[in-house]
Amino acid sequence: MSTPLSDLMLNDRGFVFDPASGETFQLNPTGLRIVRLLQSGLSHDAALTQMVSEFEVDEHTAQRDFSDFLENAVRLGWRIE
Amino acid sequence: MHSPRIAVSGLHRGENPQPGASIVRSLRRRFPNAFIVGLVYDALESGIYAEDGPDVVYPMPYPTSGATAFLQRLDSILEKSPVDYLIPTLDAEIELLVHLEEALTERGLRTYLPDKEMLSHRAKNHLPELAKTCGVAVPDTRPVYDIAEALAVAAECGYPLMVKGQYYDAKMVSTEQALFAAVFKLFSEWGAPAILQRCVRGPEFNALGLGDGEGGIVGLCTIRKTIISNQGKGLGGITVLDPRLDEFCTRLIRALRWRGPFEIEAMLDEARGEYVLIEINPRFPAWVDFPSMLGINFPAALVQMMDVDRKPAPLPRCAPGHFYVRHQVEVAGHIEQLAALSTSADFEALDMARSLEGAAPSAPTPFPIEMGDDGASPSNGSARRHAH
Amino acid sequence: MNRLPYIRPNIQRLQAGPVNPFRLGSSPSCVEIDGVPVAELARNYGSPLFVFSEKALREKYREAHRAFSRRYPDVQFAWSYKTNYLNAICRVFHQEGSIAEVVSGFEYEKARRNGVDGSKIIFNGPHKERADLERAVNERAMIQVDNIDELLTLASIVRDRTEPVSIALRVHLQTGTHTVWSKFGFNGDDGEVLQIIRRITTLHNLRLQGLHCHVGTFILDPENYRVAARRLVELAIEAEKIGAGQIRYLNLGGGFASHARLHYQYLPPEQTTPSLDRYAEAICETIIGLWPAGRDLPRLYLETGRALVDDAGYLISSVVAVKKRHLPSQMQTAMAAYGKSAAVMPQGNSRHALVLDAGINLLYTTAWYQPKILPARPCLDTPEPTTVFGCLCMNIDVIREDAPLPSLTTGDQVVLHPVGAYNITQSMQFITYRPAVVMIDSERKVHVIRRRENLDYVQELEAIPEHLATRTAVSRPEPHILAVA
Ligand SMILES: Cc1ncc(COP(=O)(O)O)c(C=O)c1O
Repeated sequence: MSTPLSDLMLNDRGFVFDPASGETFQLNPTGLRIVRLLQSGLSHDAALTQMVSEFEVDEHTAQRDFSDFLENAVRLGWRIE
Repeated sequence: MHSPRIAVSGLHRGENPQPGASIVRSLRRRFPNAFIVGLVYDALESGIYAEDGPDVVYPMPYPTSGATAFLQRLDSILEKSPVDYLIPTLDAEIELLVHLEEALTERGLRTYLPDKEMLSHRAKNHLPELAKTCGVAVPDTRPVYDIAEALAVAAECGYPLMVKGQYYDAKMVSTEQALFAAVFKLFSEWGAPAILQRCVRGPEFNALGLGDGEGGIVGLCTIRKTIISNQGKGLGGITVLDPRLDEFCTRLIRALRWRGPFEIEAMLDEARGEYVLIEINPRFPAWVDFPSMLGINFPAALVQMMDVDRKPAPLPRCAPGHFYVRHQVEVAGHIEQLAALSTSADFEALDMARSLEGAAPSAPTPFPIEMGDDGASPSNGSARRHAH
Repeated sequence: MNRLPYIRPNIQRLQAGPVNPFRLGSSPSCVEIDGVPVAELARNYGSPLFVFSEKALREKYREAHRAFSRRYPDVQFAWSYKTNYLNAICRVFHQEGSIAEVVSGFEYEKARRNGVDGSKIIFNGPHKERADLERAVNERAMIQVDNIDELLTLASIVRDRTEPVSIALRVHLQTGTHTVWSKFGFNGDDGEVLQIIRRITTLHNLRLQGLHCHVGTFILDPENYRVAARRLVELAIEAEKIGAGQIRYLNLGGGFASHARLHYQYLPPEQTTPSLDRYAEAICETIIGLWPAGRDLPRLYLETGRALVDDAGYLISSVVAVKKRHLPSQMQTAMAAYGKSAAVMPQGNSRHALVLDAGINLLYTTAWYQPKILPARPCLDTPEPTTVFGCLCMNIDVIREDAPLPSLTTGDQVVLHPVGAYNITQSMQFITYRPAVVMIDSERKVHVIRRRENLDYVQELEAIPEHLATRTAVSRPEPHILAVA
């Protein structure tokens, strides 16, 4: 059982409510940005490229953190397409 | 004094209730226009959502993070919600605050707290010395710093044993395994030492009061616990008047020259036929609103005592025969309130919209919850109270 | 386009545990040490790097000396070499007026080479070689006798001398500390010391001049010293009654707490470490109050180590890897070390983790204490419990189970503090070289006081047997050996 990103309720402060499971989450600003980019329909690669262009981060670090983040999200019950 | 601004902590009234929510109720009885600032350690503290709860709520750093973190947070809160009086209700918090008297005064905050020495003389690991100096009995009570010491004490005292944290939590254990688990958990949560205490058989009594800092007692209310939960919490109590118990409390408070609220936990030891001291807490108990309902309002008296030049007349005694039973109720909140309280500080610099996108249209949030950077003002708070 | 500051993306599950972004306070940082930027230190001297503040050393010594000399007419500090015997550190304390306290022939020789006269050395410890004792006797060092064998060895050394040699006895006492350091010296509570003193009065050429008690280390309750001082005075009075003559000095050892934080210590050191004044008050008041009227007060020696040097020492280290650590749920509270539920797993069953370029081989004291770990740059995001691993190939190489840290990334520097006591003297070379040590002087000038190790240094004492000397290449195993396996 997992909830697609599009069903999650979130606010601009990164607070997330999963209406299906009743669980709540907190994203930090970078995490929130990734979720927004994916929600807007970008592919993983495109989202990653966008992150590197928006934030002061090198590609190596961004990539490591990006896949870590997604892995974590999946473990927490979110469906990442 | 008509609309004092008072900060209170410890608002949870779950299985192991904290005193804050009761204090808020008592304050509202006396000062209907008080502006109450709740200082909380968890967004799910039930008192946040109670109808007669605080006007505004701020999350605080744990006392274990130290004075700098505490004062930094306090300053950012005071900027938004000025406060005249502070009533801390958690032992660990008080342990930190007694080091900060000057810093609090500088910020215009009034408190009525014991000093470091008083606090330490009543600490659970110093109970035997205290009991000795005032000639009251105390069950075998020993601090332990590691498991080996705990096992040695258990071998000597036998089971069952009470295992207590320095500042919070107590558990009765009957086996070595349970002792091991309890000690380790307490070390993790409340640091070393843990305190082991021999179990006593007999009825339990509690005394609630206010010490004047010179050895005198401004008010005292004694009860016998009538319903005791599995965790040893009093779910019910009845007021009593026993000169021996009064004498017991008077001696302790005189020896400590206690300043501020206290709760003395005692038992009538069946084996010895006398009162024995279980512990002294540096704060009001969770049932502090019970005497207020009888017209003897300890939290209101405390606020008066914090006004330097006003010493209240001694409070009358509660007549014996009044009782309370704890009545647990549900309080309702909305996910948006949780959102406001749990949003991390990363966002303080960002502009934010409060509503959750996609949220089903909900009942309007009954009051804004302040998370630190904007939102509720005193007028919001009053508006909210008047709405009820 | 201007890029935004980057923080490692993170999801926190708000469940089962306190939901409170402020619970660990904000993220303090340590950008410079004594006005010198941490980044510059790491660039110029490498990472990891031990850094000592000369200013902090001197200020602490002066604070301690003032605390005691204000209350007592005759006080002498002796620098406890074992706590940190880098020569530059020892010399700072000697310059300030400290004599030396040593516990081996090695430390004795070190103190001599630092220019300390033999008569200004307190010679302590449970193991003193006969040759070391002979030298100490000849150079009139202050020998603190630990055991009966040592006493008899001394007796045989001094038997044929023309003048008597003065000694002191080390005593252990029940002072209220939760363990008594009974390994050292004679029991002062059950009469053993008095028996030994009687024995000394019968030995030729030995004079009892002093009594010594080191109650333990990192003593958080000054009352323990009140008890120790009272017992030593009582023993001194009894010693004189027995006929040992007047006791000239009391040595209260070391043990004052620094601003380190023990494991399982709930409140931070700023609230729990007593001021040096409180220790001084407990000791001086007691001796002055109990010493027999009309008698000269004994000289008071202190062998304070940790409290003088710990806070002056820092370790700069760098993040070399960022990890996640999966923990079974039953381990969650077990791994918490700073208060109620602070360490509840925000990421389900995993916790942030970092690997540093320094390991516990440099930080032996992390077995008992949790050093602060501060980012060397200001960080805006809130701290989360983070496991900090060292760089050794050992699973036990955990510097801190759950340091509150903002999100850091590889290349970030952190500063560990306080680490000035015992870490350098107890460090071991393992897997890689031990780092350089620098000292920042009062003019912010940086001096290397120990160079980083290199291969030649590490191999200097090695020898290769002749039959291994010629073949340098790795040889192939003989086929028949493989067949056996
Ligand atoms: C005899 C003696 N003196 C002094 C010290 C220094 O102690 P501290 O560093 O705790 O002050 C020690 C340390 O173990 C010691 O054994």
